[in-house]
Amino acid sequence: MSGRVVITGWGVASPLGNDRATFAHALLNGQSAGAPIRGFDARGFACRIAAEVPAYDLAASCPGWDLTALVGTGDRKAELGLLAAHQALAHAGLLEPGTGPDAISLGTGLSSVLVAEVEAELIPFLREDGEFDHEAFARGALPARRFLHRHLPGRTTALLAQLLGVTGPRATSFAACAAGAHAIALAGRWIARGEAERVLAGGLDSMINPFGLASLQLLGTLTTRNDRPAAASRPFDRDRDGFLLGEGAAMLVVESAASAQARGAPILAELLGSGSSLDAWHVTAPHPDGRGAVLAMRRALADAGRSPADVDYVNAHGTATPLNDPVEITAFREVFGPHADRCPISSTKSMHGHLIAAAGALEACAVLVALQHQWLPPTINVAHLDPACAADVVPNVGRAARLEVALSNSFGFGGQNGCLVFGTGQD
Amino acid sequence: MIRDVRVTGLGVVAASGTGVAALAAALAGRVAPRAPLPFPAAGFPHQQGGVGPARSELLGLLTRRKDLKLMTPDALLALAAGVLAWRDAGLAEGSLPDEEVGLFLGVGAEKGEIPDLAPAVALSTTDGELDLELLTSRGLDRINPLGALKTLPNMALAHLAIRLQVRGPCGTFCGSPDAGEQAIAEAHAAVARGECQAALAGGSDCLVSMAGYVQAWRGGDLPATVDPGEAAAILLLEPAAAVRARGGRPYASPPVPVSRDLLEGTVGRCGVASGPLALAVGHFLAGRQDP
Repeated sequence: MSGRVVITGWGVASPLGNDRATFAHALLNGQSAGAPIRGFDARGFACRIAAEVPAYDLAASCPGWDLTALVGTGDRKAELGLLAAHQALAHAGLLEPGTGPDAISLGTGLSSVLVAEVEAELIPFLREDGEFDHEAFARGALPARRFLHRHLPGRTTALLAQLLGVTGPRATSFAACAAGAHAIALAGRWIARGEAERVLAGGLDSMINPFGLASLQLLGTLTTRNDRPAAASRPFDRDRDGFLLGEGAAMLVVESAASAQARGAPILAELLGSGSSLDAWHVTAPHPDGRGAVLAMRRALADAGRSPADVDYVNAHGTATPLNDPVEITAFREVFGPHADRCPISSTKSMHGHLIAAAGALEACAVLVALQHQWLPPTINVAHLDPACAADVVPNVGRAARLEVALSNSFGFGGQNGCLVFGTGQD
Repeated sequence: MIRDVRVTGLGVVAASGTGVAALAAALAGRVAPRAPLPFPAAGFPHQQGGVGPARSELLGLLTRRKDLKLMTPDALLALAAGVLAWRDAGLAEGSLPDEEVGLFLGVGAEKGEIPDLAPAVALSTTDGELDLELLTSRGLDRINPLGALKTLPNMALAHLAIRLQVRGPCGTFCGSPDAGEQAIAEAHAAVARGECQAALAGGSDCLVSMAGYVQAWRGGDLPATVDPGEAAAILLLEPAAAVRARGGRPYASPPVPVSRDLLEGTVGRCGVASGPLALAVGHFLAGRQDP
């Protein structure tokens, strides 16, 4: 990456809290957001727990923003995205008119169908034989457009661009569980290439609804440890059984160092580099040797101009699925060699769950917290470390450490991977 | 060091047919092939569209036919266009190191179809309302477990990567009409900066499936005067020096780097004044924004 790219603000709408301080406190102290699902009656589902974002007041949290476009849409992930964006821009001092970002790069996820949507747009068009009546739908569909925009991936990007008057580059990345990381990486590339100065970048997702939960349950990826939700997300543990579904959004203000210095903005961290790769193996399963993960980590380090020995901490993708964790540790060992025995690697998904498309962005924020506090966030719920995941996973309790460079991993369905390298930003 | 980049392969699958020659012939002959929409379209304002080649014509490009079960139409189109671009460049499959080939795609919105849920919902409805207890006890058995996975927009990228075994830098852009251009711009940057030896880049979308059509129509993106269509177009980009070294045949330099910005800015970044431009391809939709 040519030209310094720095972070001057960040914000979260997360299962661990809807502000930076609450999020950081929970993260550093090993708190779990796992709980029975509150958003709907999940009694019949095999998985009845999740990591939901605490209640919020969108209008009160985003003063000055016209939110009427969201009314009645049920677009929860857009709401979460706006919450995080407002915080990040306020943190960076970019909310005043004329001072905002000149570009937006967001990563987003699949918009699962809502119950209200099914009741408005499907059930009325079911024939008595249970088949869908396309013709009746065609003649009756137009009035119910309120749900439509929720399914457009670029909706939140466009909405924020409109709210902020952004006329520069804007993009919506869809890289499944690596989308947030890809979006932040793109922001860094824009700045390094001189195409933007200040980019609002991050990820947003929410699948904690009946059809979202159902789709992941059908794929067999979710934990079913319903009786102990706080202990359900168990990355690297021998008894892990799948991921705890989370939701949320995380946004960063990614800025050229020159821009930050010119306006006197405090530099919170530096985005040193990024890397992406493809597994080219299977649409759901990771490459068994972690081939794509290895390539993404190596590319990110090369882009950052750092060697593995320079890295003080790795925030793992660490989903707690039986397949992901050992493959990731294998890849980590391949890249880091002997340094893998000295470099801590923890999964904060053990606390905040898996935010799918927003995961990479929230975990980037977790890295910022770690760098700021010089403290390793733990992997909680490690009762018996899986021998196939042997590494210093910072089990159960965080600890102080000297942290200058940290790597964040994100590996998505479809074998699309993204890694980010951050530094403290201190010369 | 920034390298000069050339387009060395083109793969196109569209209503004009399969391949660049078919597209060129259609453009030269001002032919706009139209066919009935391949779903029950009675009642919708459009009955015809630019429908791509029969799926059976593309099956030979797949490694495993069973993969079709996991593909939306736009994913299949992208896979076909990517393989054609590779071949058009005169490269044998596997002739470049897998980790040295990038892949960047612009894709359309997710293509999940509410009617796909009809069998499950029909078993889970009480008095016009969805009954979650019935859904979990009876309805879920009627949902394709891989259905949601299939509709992920980045699956087009995944299938093409698996088919061609490429593991280079990547990106999937969606949600705007310039997503394909964003993909080409990022691929150009990756090749120019030496992040990979080559990159496939382009776009794919299908508005002639019911899901794609309904989204576009209801979103106001399809005026009555414009037919829905489907297509994928993918370019292979390589460093100019590498093309010369292998005796390859370049088409052109790709655009640099994005055109979502003002045209003047884009042209400026290409290092040319607007005068020498031989052709500007507009985004005309026969709609209100054309003027």
